[in-house]
Amino acid sequence: MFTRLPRPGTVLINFYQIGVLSLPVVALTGTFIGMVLANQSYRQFQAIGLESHLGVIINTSLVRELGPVLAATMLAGRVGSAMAAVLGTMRVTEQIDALTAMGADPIHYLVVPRFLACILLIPALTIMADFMGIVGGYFYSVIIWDIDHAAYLNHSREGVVGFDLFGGIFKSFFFGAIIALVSCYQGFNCEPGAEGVGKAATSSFVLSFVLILAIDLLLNILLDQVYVALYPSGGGSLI
Amino acid sequence: MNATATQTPLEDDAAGSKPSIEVRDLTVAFGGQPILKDINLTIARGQTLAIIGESGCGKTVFMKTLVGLIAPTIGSVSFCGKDLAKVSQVELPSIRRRFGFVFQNAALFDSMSIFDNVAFPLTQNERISDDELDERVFKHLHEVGLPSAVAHKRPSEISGGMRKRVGLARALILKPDLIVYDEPTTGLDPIMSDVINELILDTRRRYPVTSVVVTHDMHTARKVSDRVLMFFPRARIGEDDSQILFDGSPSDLEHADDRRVRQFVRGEAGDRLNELTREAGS
Repeated sequence: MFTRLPRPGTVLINFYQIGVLSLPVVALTGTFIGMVLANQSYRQFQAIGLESHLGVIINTSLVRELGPVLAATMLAGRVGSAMAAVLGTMRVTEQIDALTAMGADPIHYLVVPRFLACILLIPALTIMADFMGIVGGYFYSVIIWDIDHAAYLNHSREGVVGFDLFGGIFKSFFFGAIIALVSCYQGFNCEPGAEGVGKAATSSFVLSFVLILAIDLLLNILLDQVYVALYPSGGGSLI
Repeated sequence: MNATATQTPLEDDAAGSKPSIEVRDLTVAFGGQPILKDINLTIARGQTLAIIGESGCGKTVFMKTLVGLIAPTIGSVSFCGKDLAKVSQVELPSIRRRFGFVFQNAALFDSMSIFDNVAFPLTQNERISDDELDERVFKHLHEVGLPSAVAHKRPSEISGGMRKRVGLARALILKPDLIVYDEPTTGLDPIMSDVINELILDTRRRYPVTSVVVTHDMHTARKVSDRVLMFFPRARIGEDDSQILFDGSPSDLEHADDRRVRQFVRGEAGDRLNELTREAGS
C-alpha cells in the first residue's frame, strides 16, 4: 500500500477535507463536553466542599477518554460516512473501474491519502477537542458556577499527567486508522444503487463506532499495564 | 512513469502477427452461477467487433473480462500474447494503459473538471510539461467536437452526449491499442447516437486501434463494425449449446440461420413475453 507515496495533490485535498473542515465541529464538540462535565459534576463536588477541584475531573476525563472517543465518534460520522458515500458512489458509477482501466491503482489513489489524513489528523483534532473541552469546562465553572479561577487552575494542574495526554493521543491514532479502513472498505464494497450507497455510509459509521469502543477498552487495559509498569509507585491506575 | 516505460511491455508485439485478443475456454461465474461459459474467440488487430445480445447475456461481463477488470473463473484472456491472469500486479497496470475504455455512463470523475478528467491518464502515466498537457487535452477535446470552454466545467454541468464524448477523449489520450465501448449510444437521441457512431469510425480511421463495441443498437452494430458476435443468456440454453449464436459480418445478420438472431436483429418480441410470464409464475 505504501510502496510509493501518493501525489501531493491527492493527499492535500484529503488533508483539507478531513482535517481543516472538521475543525469547527470538533472544537464545538470538545467545548460542549467540557461544559456538560462542569455542569454535571458541580453539585457532587460542592456537596463535599471540593468545587475548586472540579477541573481535575473535567480535564482528566477529557484528556484520557472523552476527548479522543467523542472526537473519533464525531469524525466517524462526519468524515467516515462521507468517505464511504463518496467511494460507494464512485463504485456504483464505475469510476473505480475507470481508475483501474486507466492503469491507476484505486487503493493507492483513493485509500492511501484518506488513510494518511485520518491517522495523522485525527490525533491533531483530538488535541483540539481536548483543548476546547478544557476551555469550555473552565469557563463554565468560573463564569456560571463562580468558582475562583486561580484555585480552579491550580487544582487542574495537579490532575492531568503527561501519560494521560499521551494515552489519549495514542488511542486516537488507532481510531483514525479504524475510521479510514472501515469507511474505505464499506465504500469499495458498496452494493449497487442509491440504497447501497446509503447502506455503506450507515454501516461505516456503526461499524467504526463499535470498533472504536472495543479498541478503546483494549487500549485502556494495555495503557493501564504500561502505566503500572512505568510508575509502580504512581499511586493508581490510569483508567 | 514516463511515456517510454508505458510502451515497454508490449513493444515486442507491436508489429507482431499475434491477434490482439485471444479468449480461450472462458468461463465467468458469480456465486456459482455461470454468466459466460466456454467462450472461445480471437479478435484480429485493427478489427472492430460489435457484441450484441439481450440484457443479462453477459456482454458487459465479457467486456470487463477482456480488459482485466473481472478475472476469469476458468480459461484465459490474452492481449497481444500475454495472459492477463498471469501477468504480475506490477506489469498489469502498464498493460491496462494500452486499453481505452468508454463506459456506458462515461464514469467521469465528479470531483474533477473535464480538463482534469481527460488529462488524468496522462498525469498518472507520463511526465509531460504543462504546455504539452494543455495541447494534448485540448486536441482530444476538439477531436470529439467539444469546445475549449467546456474544459473547466464539471461532469455534472454538461449533457449526456457531451459526457460520452469526454469519456471517448479520455479513453483515446494514451493512444490505446484496444478501445472498448460499453453501450456507447444508450440514452442518447438519434442524432447524438449517430455522432458517437461517426466518432467511433473516425477514431478507427485516425488510430490503428482494435475496437470492441458492446451495444443493443443495431444501427450502431451495422454502421461501425466489421464483425458481429451475438451472445445469448447462459441460463436459457442447454448445457452443451454455444453461448455465441452468431459470429459473422454485419451484412449476414439479417439472414442468420438462427431464429433468435433474426428476432433480435428485427427487434421482435416473438414468444418472449409468454416465456417471461411462465418464468415469473414458476
